Amino acid sequence: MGLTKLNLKAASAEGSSIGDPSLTSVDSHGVAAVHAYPQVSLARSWNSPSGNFVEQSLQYFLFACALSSVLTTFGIVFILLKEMSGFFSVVSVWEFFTGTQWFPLLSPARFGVLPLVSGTLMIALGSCLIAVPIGLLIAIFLSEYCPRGFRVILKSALELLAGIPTVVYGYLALTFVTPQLAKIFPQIEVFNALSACIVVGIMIIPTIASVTEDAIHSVPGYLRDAGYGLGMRRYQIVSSIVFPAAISGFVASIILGLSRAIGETMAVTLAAGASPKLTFNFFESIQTMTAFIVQVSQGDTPAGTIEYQSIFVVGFCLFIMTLGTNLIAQFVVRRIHHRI
Amino acid sequence: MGLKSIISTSHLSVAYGDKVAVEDVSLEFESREVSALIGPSGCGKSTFLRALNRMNDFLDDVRTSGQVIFHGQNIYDSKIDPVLVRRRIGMVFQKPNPFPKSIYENVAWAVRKFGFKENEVRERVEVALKGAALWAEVKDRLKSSAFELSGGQQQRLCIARAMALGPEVILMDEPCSALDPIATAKIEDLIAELKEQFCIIVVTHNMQQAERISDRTVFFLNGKVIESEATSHIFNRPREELTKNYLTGRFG
Amino acid sequence: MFAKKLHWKSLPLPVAGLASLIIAFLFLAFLLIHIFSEGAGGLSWSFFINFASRFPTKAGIYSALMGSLWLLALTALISIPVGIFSALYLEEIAAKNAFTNFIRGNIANLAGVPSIVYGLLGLALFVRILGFGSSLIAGACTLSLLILPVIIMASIESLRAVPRKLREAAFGVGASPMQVLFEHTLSQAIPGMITGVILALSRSLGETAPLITVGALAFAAFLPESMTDQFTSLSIQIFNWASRPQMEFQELAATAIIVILSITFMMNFVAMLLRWKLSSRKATS
Repeated sequence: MGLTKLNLKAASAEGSSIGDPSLTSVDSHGVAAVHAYPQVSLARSWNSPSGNFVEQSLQYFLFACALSSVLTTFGIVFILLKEMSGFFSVVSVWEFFTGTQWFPLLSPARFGVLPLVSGTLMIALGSCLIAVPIGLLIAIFLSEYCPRGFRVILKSALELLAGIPTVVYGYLALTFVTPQLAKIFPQIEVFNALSACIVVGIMIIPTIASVTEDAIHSVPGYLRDAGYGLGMRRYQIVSSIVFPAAISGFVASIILGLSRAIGETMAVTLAAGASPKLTFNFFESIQTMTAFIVQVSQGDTPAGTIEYQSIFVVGFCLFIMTLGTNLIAQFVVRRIHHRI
Repeated sequence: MGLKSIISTSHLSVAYGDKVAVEDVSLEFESREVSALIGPSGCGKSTFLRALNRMNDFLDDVRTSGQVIFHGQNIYDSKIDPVLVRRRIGMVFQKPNPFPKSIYENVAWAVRKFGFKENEVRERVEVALKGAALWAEVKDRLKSSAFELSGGQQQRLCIARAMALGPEVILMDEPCSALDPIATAKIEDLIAELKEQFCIIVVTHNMQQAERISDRTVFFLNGKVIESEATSHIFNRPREELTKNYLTGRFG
Repeated sequence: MFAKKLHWKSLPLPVAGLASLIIAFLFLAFLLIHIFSEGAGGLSWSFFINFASRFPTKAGIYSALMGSLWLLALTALISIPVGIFSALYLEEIAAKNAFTNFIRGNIANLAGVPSIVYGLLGLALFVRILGFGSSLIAGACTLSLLILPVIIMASIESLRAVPRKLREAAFGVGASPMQVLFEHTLSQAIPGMITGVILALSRSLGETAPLITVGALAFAAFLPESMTDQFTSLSIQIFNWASRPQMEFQELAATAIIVILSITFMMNFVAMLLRWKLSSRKATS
C-alpha cells in the first residue's frame, strides 16, 4: 500500500506539470511537492485546449453547415420571387388569381390559376377523406388494442408504405386502380382524379396514423385510470377520454396529411392527367399545380420565357400553401404540449 | 505554506433564471483536507460544487457572479480557459458515469489526450487504479467494458479516472448516493486515503457520512452558508440554532 | 355477477381498427402482387445490362441504374456530413437563443416543403446560376438539400438520446468542447444517425419530380462517367415507361419497379434492424 501511495504522489506532481514544463524540477517526493503549487496559467490562448485554432475553426465550420438550411430557405424564396416578378410584369395579378382558364402553352395564353388550385384541392381533400378515417382507426387500434409485440412490427410495416416511391404509386393508380374503378364506373376517364385520390390517400395513411398515435400515446395514464376507476369500458374510455385529449394531435395529423397531398407530384401526374379545368367531377382528368410544373419541365423551356416563369409562380403558390398548412399544424401540436 | 488555501470563493452567487441557488458564498478550502457540504436537498450545495470547476457552464440560463480563486486567478474571468481549470480540478458525479469504453480506456483516454506517451499512460492507469483500490479487482480484465463492473466499482473507476490526471482538487457530488452500504464504506475508506494528496470537497446529504469522512463541514441552507467549522466542532457544539435543528432532524 | 361478459358495444372500435389496418396492408399486398405479375417476367440479366430502347424487348435499365447509383453516392457524400455537422452545431454548440430557434423551426418547415419546389430551386440555382447544367452534380445537390432536413432532425434526435452524464464525464476529465463532441457524444449517437441517414437516402432514391425539373434525361443510351455528365435515373425511367400507353412499356415499368422497390425495402429493412438492435441495447445497459 505504501508503494501505491508514493506512486500516486508522483503521478499527482507530474499531472501538475501538464502544460508547464518548469514544474518538472519540483521535488516529487512527499508532502512538500503536493503543497508547492507554482503559479500556473489557466488563461485561454492560441494553444490552450478550447482556444486553439483547430477547436475554434471546427466550431465555425459546424456553424457554417447549420447555416445551409437557412440559405436553402432564402434560396427558395429568392428564386421564386425573382421569377415571379418577371411573370407578373406580363400577366396581371388579378387575372392570375381569378382567371378560370389555364392555357400557358397555347396562344393566346391564359394564366388563370384557379383550375390548377381546384385540381390540387380536389386531390388533397379527396385523399384526406380516404386517409383520415383509416389513419385514425389504425392509430386507435395500434395504441389501444394491439398487443405490444405486434405494435412495433405493424408500425414498421406502415413505414414501408410510406417509403414506397411516389412514382410507384402513380404507376399503380394508372395500371391497377383505374382499371378496377372502370369496372364499377364505366364512364370514368383513363386519367381521373379519383384514382389519384385513392393512391395519395393510401400514401398519407402512415403520416396520419403515426402523428395521431403519438398524440394518443402522450395522453397521461392517470386520465385512463380515472375512467377505469369509474367502471367505464374500454371503448368508452377511448371515445370519451383518450380521443378528446388527443384531438389536437389528430387535427395536426390531418393538416400534415393535407400538406403532403398538396405537394404530391408523381402519383397525380401519372394518374390524374394534364387537363387543367375547373371541375369537381372526380371521374374526369384534371391537372394539379405540381403536375403542371412537371409537364413544363419535361420539355426544354428556355429561361426567361413566360412558360419558364410560370412554373416558378405556381411553385410559389405551392410553397405558400404547404408552408401555411405546416405552420398551422405546428401551432396545433404546440398547443397540446401546453395543455398536457 | 502548508496552510495556504488552494481554492477559495469570494461572494459567489449562482442563479438559474430567476431562482438564486447560491447566494454570496465566501469559503476557503485547504489541501490535504476533506470538506463536506451538507444541507437539505435544494439548498444549493451541488450547484456550489459544480461552480468550482465551471460544470454549470453547460446548464441553460445560469448566471454566476463573484469569484472562484484558483492558482491566484478568478476562474470566471473571461480570459480563462475552463478546460484548463477542469484538468486541475477533477470531478466525481452522483451516479457512476464511466465512458462506454473498456476499463483501461476509461482512465487512459484523458491521460492520453494530455500528450503522454503510451507507456506513461499505462503506468498512470495502473497507479490510478491502485490508488482507487480497484486494481486487484480489474487487473485481469482491463479490456472488458466498464459497464460490466458493479455500481461501486464503477464509481471507484470514476475516481481513478479523475485521479489519473493528477488534479489538485477533487470534487465529489454525493458519490455514494447510488451505492449500497458496503460499496459506500469502500469509497469512504478511499476518501480517507486520497486526502493525503488532494483537496477533497464532498457534497453529501448523509450527516453520518459527513461526520465520518470530513475534517470540515459546511452547512448550506437556501443557498447561503449558515456555518462552516471543523467537523467535530459542528457536530458537537454547533454555533447556529439552524444548524442544530438540522443536525437533530427537525427539518431536512 | 362479475362474470366476464363481452359487451356488444365494445366490438365496433377494435373491429373497425383492425379492418383499417387490413385495408392498408391489403393495398400493399395488391401492389406487390400486381407489380410482380406484370414485371417479374421481364427480370433477366439483359434487363440490367441493356440501355433504354425504343424496342421494348431490347430495353433495359443499365444507364438508369447507374445514374441512380451515382446520384445516391453523390447525395450521400454531400448530405451526410453537412446534415450531421448541422445537427452537432444546433444540438451541442448553439446557444439557446432566438436565432437558434429560428434555424430549428426553419428546418422543420423545410421538411414539409414539397420536393418539386426543391426541384425549382435546383433548376434555377444549380443548373442555371451556378452553371452545373442538367448534370449529376446538379441533381445530387438538389436531392441533398431535399433530404438535409430529414437527416438533421434524425441526427438531433439521436444526439438527444445520448445521456447527459456522458458529456459531464468527458468535461469532468478536462476534455475540450470539440473533444467531447467528436470523441464521446458523436460516437454514441452515430448508430442512431445511421438509421436516419439510410431512410433519408432511400427516400432520395425514389425521388422523381425534382430530377425532372433539373432536367434529367428521359432517355439515355450512355453511362455517366463523371459528375458533370447528363444522366437519367431509375425513377425517371419508371415514370417514362409508365406514361407510355403501350402494354409492353408498362411491363418494363413494373420490372424496373421491382428493382427500385427491392433496393428501397432493403435499405428500410437495414434501418429498422439497426433501430431494433439499438433499442434492445439501450434496454440492457
